[in-house]
Amino acid sequence: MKVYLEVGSFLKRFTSEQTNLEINISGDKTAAEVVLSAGVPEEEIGFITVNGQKVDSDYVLKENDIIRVYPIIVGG
Amino acid sequence: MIYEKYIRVLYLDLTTKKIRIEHRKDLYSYLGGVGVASKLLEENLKPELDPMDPQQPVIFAIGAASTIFPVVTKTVAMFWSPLTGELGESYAGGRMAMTLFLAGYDAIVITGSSSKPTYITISRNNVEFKDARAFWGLSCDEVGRVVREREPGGGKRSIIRIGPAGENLVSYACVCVDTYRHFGRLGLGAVLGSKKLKAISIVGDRDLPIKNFKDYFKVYQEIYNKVTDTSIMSKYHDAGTPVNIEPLNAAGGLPTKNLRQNVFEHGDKISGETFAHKNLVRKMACTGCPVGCIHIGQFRREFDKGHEYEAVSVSYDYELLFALGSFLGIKSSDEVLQLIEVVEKLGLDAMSTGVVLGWATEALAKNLITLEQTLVPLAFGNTQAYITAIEYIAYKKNEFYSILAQGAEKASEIYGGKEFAMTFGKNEMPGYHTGYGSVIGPTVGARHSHLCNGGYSIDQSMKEFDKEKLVEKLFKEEKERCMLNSLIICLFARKVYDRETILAALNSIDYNLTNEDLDAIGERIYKTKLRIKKMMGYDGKNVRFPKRLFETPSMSGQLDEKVAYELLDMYNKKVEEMMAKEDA
Ligand code: SF4
Repeated sequence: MKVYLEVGSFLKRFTSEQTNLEINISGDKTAAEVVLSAGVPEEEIGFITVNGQKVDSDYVLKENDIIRVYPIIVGG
Repeated sequence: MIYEKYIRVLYLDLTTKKIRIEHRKDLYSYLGGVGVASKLLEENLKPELDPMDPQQPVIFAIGAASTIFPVVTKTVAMFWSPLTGELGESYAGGRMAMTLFLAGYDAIVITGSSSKPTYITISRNNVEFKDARAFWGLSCDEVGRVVREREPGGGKRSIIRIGPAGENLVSYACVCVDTYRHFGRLGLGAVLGSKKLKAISIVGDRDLPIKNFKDYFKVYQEIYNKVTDTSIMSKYHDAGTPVNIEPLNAAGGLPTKNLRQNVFEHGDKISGETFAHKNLVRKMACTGCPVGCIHIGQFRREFDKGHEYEAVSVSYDYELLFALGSFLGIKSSDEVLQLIEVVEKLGLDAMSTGVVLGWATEALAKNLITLEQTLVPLAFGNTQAYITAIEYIAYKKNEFYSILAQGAEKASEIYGGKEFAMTFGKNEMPGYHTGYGSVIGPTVGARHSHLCNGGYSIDQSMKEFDKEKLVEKLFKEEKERCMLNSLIICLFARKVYDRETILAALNSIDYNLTNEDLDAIGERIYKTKLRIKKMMGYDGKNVRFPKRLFETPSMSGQLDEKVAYELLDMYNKKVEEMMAKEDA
């Protein structure tokens, strides 16, 4: 099945500068698995939304889900 | 002082114009930075006098590793804050730490006040008090320029100065440091203003041979490589802290319109990405930092109607985008930069200014104050009104602006609206509504800053909310940062400087420290700060939380006031236990 991954300006360095990815997955896959397999390192993931809602990393994806990954909040 | 077992302190008295230097062996166990500065503040404070009494001291100090290792770039200033009425502690980068180090001073204690505007020049062999009457009234950039032209030492010189806000004793006036750096928070600018001290120029030009170069260089290179070759620091250079707007806005943690909202509907127009596309022109670094996180943005301004345009450059970071952006409902990156420029010229703390104006905007809408008082129609998104209001604050245009110049806490005491005066311990809030960490952290933090213990960061990393764990983490981090700030590491590099790295660094330059020593130093410094706070009349039990924190949901959901007070009690107990223990 097909899901979509959106990557913001900072994290696109990990996805070869791609910001909108169409990904084919088979079987049950979690949102975090898709984000990690797209190349975003775990320590750079702040949180993930699916269809605009913040989800836990073990959220199991459904057909046509739109995943968006956000960077961690940085500062002193 | 490097390779010496003492701290070299320069004492300057503005009243008598007397200068003396002391080699203080007794301060060595405080390492440097905030440790030494706390001790010097404790010794020189006059608790019986007003915080703004000219006799009160101002302390500047550099750390045990300043300039010697990468990203160890900060100078600390300690004073009695006119804003909170208690501990004033503020950090600035730029060139100041390097120049103090190469001029041979670990700390400066300034007491007294001058009868007329003065600036001080400091070098290795000479200190002079000079006439600044002609500079009084100049903006921060203008006075920087004239001191630069008059005084020698370019390249190895640091110039710190106040603007009109400091001269006019605005309680949250800042001190500008070199180019685009500041002692921003808690009103050091007003304290220098009360002493009629317009500027200080420091020239550092010693050569300092490193002993045992091989060991030192090995540690230096390891740190340098960690800083430049890993992703720990690259995000600060590439995107910088403005990257925070996007995740905070998406997660509901971005304080917007005086925290009436936790999401800004125009967040994308002031995001780091938007600034990078539309305004970013270059990046700069503090001396001794290979990262260079200081983002400079530009906007165009017409000289006058129908005339040519000038390009105006200012630095921006996340806290500014929040305070002069989302918090005031400003909808474009150009307008945020315009507000930053006004604040910069007048010498105000951007964070306090934005948060104070947020309160005033809501107070006007709720008819607690009137247009006759504000003189301009303060409304979220009205940049022009805010520009004028900022000028009115700096010059204390009328009685209302004189009160606004004392902070949101004071203004709400007089006009009402305490429930939406967004302060922690009387210091205006930072840009994080992330959970209990972002509420309790700055409330219990020694200087009421989010940087005291990084509560907002704990909110992000804590998988499940646990009261005990949160309080323990805040307490531990507060002590740890006392130790880090005695070196004084830029806190952006705190993940580079783990304990092992700190010990390797310090021991390569002749310290002989263990992990336990670092624990003891952190605790010793924290206890000193708490003693000073007590002298200044602070009682952890008397702090309040603005109700708004519990009305607008945070990134971690709705917060409960009762839980916040419970956490506060738990933290206060920990402090009491620590204070009852003998020093290690
Ligand atoms: S990371 Fe930024 S603030 Fe910190 S020392 Fe480097 S340039 Fe200065």
